[in-house]
Amino acid sequence: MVNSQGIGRACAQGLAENSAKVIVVALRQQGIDRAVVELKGENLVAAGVSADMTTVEGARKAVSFARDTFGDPGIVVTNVHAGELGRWD
Amino acid sequence: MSLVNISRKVQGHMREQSWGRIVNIGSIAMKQPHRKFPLITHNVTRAGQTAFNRTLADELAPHNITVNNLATGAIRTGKFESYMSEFASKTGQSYEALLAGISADIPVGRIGEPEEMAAACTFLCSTRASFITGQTVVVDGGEVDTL
Repeated sequence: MVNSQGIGRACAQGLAENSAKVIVVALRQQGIDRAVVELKGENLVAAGVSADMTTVEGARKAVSFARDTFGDPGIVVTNVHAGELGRWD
Repeated sequence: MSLVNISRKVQGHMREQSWGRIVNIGSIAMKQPHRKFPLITHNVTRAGQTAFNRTLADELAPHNITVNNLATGAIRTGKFESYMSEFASKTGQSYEALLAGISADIPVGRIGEPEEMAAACTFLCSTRASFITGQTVVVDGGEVDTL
């Protein structure tokens, strides 16, 4: 279970190339769809789900989707945004 | 809270399998606070993530589940480019000059690529990384000063 852009996308590629069945999780469906299509286009195994991982419900949704699609997840890679540029003041 | 939420949801399934890999990607603020750039939320939250990583790793180690952090240095992603573009604009310098300065501070002399993060991630998720847990692995071209 990884995300759909940048480092997360590269991790999805690396894991899938090493025979993992990858679930791409992000907020925006467009990015998910693009990543999944690209991975499948290389004959890699992938599916995707939109979920807000900042919420308990979002995490539950992602894990349920993974279990229903490929079985119990054995690997989780989180790549969480930590905020914008800004000072304390 | 994302990594706390997802860790809670998956650890039961991993325990049942007696195998699991959790890799939490963060930043070099896990080792050394950002000083050149105003990234206060990174400096604060990544320290907490490091403590969480170690605590969860201890708890899950007996179940053959490893938990590790990857500390991201300057990696050429869309988010990195938007940060640097905004920072260059705010500080009155060109984007190119800013990146040249960043590269000069990195011992390997360049910005990293997402695939270089993925290589470390893939290894930590593999069976070969079975004796590595609770660690923060830095992928930064040698930028961080700490031992």
